[in-house]
Amino acid sequence: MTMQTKRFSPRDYLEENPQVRKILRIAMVIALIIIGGLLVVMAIDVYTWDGFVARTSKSVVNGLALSMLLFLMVSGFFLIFGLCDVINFAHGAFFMLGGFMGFVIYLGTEALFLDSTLPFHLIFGANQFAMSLTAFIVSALGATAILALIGGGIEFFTVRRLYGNPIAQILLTVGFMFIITQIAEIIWGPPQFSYFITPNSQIAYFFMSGILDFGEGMIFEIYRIFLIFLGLAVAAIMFVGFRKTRIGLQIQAGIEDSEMVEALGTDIRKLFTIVFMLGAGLAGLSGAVLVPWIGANSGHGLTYLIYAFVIVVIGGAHYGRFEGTFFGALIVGLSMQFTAYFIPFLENIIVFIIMAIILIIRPGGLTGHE
Amino acid sequence: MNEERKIVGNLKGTILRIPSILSNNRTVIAVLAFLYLLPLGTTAGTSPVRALLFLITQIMIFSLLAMSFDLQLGRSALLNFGHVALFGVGAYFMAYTLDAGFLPEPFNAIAAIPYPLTLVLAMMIGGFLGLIMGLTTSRMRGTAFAFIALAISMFLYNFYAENPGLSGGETGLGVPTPDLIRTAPFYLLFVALAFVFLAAFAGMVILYLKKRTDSIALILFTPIMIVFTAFLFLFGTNIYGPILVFYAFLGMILLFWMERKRRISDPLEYVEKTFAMKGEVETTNKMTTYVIPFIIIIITLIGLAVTFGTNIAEMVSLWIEDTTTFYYTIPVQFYLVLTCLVMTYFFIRRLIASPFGRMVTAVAQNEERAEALGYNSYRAKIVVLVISGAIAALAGALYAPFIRTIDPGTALGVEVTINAMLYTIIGGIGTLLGPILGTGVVVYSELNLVDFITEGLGLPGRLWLVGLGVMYIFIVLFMPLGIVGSIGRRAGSIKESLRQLKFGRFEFGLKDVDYWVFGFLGIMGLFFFLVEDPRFLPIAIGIFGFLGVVGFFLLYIFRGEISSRIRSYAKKLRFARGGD
Amino acid sequence: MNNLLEIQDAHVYIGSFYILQGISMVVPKGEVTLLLGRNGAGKTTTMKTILGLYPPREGKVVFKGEEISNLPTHKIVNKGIGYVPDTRRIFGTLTVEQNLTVSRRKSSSRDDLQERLDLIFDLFPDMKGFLKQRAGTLSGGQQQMLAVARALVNDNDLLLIDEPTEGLSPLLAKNLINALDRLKEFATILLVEQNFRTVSKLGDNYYIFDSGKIVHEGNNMSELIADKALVAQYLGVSI
Repeated sequence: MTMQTKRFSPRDYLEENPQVRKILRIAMVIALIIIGGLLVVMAIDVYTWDGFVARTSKSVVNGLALSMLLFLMVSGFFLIFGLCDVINFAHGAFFMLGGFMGFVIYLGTEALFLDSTLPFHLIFGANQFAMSLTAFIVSALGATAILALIGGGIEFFTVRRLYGNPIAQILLTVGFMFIITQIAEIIWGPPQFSYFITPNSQIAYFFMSGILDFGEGMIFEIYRIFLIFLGLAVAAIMFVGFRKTRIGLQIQAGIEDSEMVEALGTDIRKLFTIVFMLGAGLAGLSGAVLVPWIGANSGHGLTYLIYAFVIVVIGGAHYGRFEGTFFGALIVGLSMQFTAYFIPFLENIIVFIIMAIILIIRPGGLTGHE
Repeated sequence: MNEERKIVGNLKGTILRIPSILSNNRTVIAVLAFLYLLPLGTTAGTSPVRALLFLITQIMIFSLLAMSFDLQLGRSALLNFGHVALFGVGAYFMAYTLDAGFLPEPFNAIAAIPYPLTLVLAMMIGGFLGLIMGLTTSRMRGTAFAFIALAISMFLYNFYAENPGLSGGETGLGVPTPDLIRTAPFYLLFVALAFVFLAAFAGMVILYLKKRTDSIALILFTPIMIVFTAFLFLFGTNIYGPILVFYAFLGMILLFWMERKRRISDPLEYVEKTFAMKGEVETTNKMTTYVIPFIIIIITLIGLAVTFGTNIAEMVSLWIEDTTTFYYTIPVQFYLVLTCLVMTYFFIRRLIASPFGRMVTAVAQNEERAEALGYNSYRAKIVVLVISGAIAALAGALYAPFIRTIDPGTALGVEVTINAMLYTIIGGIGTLLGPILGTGVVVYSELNLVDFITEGLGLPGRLWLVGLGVMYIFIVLFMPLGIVGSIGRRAGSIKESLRQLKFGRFEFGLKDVDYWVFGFLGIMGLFFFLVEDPRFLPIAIGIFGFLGVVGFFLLYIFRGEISSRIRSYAKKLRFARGGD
Repeated sequence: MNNLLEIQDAHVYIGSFYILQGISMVVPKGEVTLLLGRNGAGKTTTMKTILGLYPPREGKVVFKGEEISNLPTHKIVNKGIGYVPDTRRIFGTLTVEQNLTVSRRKSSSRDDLQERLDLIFDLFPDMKGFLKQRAGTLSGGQQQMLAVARALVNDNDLLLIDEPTEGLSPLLAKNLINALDRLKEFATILLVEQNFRTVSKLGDNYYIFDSGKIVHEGNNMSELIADKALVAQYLGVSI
């Protein structure tokens, strides 16, 4: 046997020695944790210990609420991307439109309930809480249904024609994003205007607008805590749905290998339409429940689209799993709120930094393949 | 003695190549000659041309951006959603080099770099950012590249939006005009270039008339002669200039008759034969080959100088009186951007035809197969991204001083990427002229239709954007190659039919060599239409009338094909809806 | 109606590649038909053409006397075709049970599920043990069992089985062939196999593919095995 002299290449070396690679990765994670810790210490130093507990608890609550909201939205994006291989650029626009739909439907329902010529006010006239709650549920469900119809329609009439040509599909969804954003700006004005429920409500009342005060600055809005539970509940329903129902299993299988699902006798086109409806509906739902917190705003489309991207990349874009999206949403939501309270200048940049770090450590994201 | 003969031989060879270069780029030369001529009509005062020049400059800057976008999307199937980052770094770099007082102490040293050099540096920075984007393509395959690129651009956007120290805060960053742009010598340099292009144009027309010796050439040449003279007549300050140019045109017709008399036996066959030989002049008649053409070109140039002499002299004298004058900014920026665009156009054309371009195409069509053939797809993508990044940064660097104020929204916002995408796709993916045409159509309509909708119809002006979106979706669905691409795909059959055009006994066969006429007339007609001056309206109507007649004949000839196409399309639609 | 499946002069393109250049073949009912040939000869493409994944540009596919070449895949499959793909392509994130649930078609009648499961467990008794396991964690042999079982949860008339023994140890391969041998009584089988000697006991009809064409067909495997020249020319010598 002859020894071949080969040029030393660090990449090849690492490929051949997985142990070393593992150690390097661990070292990198430790280094990053230390850097993160230093940043936190620095931030605390800047703000002193005053209000540390209040800040932390606030950022945890807000972070969890945001995470759940993001998860609801991004799971739709992830489903569409995973199963149909379409990067749905219109998803943020769906989300934004869901917000406006929720807002409009809420006010409409409220007006209906308060109209003295209709029988509803006999039931709800005295009980503002019940009225507001019903209107909220109607608005959330209505936004979901409308967006599901829009999403399904877009899939059925346009995207369907272009399967097998991913770039054209992306271009198409960008067109819809453009159109929806423009229409929203025509009707509701540019992103400078945010629409909230309470100021626009006839009775200036929303059933969950109170706050919880634990003293020492630990003030939480009830709605955000409610959002956490709502998000968890929807997530749980979805997890169970994907484990137990036939269609959920088909979707999961299709994310792995859609051609095989087709070859086993499933109408994959129908499944695609259903997934588009489901994804857009989820975007509509999350948009509608966001309104009482951040408001409906025509600029949300783009902002939240970017978050969806980042979360899906973190969670594992290619052949990733649903759980990855959940944890990705947690990471993004919490880190954004933490930086908002401790290191404000990083608030909008942190997600990109996290994404870059995760891609360096695990190129496929948390659960995806490389 | 031998040496001298050699040098003379080389020189002769170069000169003899000129005709073939001219003959191979007819349309481009005709359009360029006209575009370079335009700013000569500007004077110190406000004139309609100034507004038009401003608009065209804007269109050309965004054309550069769209061309760089198309280089990625159309040529190498890379959908880059962070394209604006490349544009933005160029714009901000240019802004920092032009304003010495903005950046803090050690960094403001870059303001000492002279202006044209900063353009090159901006391109290098854009190329470098493209390289970084390219490196990420190894990590994520296919469409997921869009994720990373968008994240990069959003990172930059947020970074600038959060740092008023870099972006100038709420009001944005004011960008002064480079001093060089406001100097007369720089202006005169471009004026000289305009004369060169006009000489090339005259030479090209002479070559055309000498070779296309049948009456079709005369029919096509006449409107050009009339419209061009009228243009000079209306725009120039001196009446003798247009007359001289008209005489030059008459000289061309004289030349045409002289050639025709010699070659009357079988003009069509003659044309075929000569063009097969790459348009080289093969005649021994010194009079018609050298003497008369040169006299004609010189008369043309003198005519031009006489026409616009007063304008140029006025501009220069203004500069001598006051060197800080701003009159130069618009025409000189127009010239600068035009020159950059022309250079980019030819560069991309060369690049695509090169072996590297073929490799990029192969990679774009089927990456796995290309790799199996031994191409390095990764490297091809990186190189494309670097080149495209440089072009986009050039567009940004030209844009910043042109628009005077930049903020993160206009220089780094996702909207810019989406606009570039709209321009490219409406114009045509993977075509050279598509992005330019798409930009022109969209930018011009945006400016004018918004006014029309708000004032004329009393509706919100943004409805135009909704319409644009619908048009865009329609094009993505049904015309994947865009306007230019769809025409280009049928060009072969259209040309073939036009070649056999006949009306009764009269043969009206158009050849490849004739199409520059339509390009030239089209751009002139557009100009007369866009300049919005009632004096020019008759000319615009005349030109569009002529083109309209041609178009009507086209429709008449293709009526069978068109109706069958519509019928088959309707059938397809019904099938698509009913199927599955 | 003796022939369950018939392909008449099928020309198939994938993208711009001309893959199948006029294939005509029949699959008799109740028998095993073997498709032989080298890698890239067009065997797998033939299967996908039958499934409608690569519809033929010319020619037609007839199943149970009915043309199916222009139907969408799921409609074709629902007529009673089971598919076992060459690289198994099981759904790794689902459990074995869920894999079977996904594969069970809605059109299959409700009551015969237990029957089908009994058949599967009868053929592969081991499967009961790993029903709740995630399919991605199974061994190669277990995955292959699952891939075959997926085609058996429905009452299919025709099974398309692509390279079942690929990557299996000789013992596992033998077990699998025995299982397929027992399957013959339940369904017609169209089998692609490189290693034709191991499957020669399954059936006698065979077609030999080369460069997208059928170059030889016959109905006597022992004759084929004896024909050294033919084997060397089209099936490689590596036996």
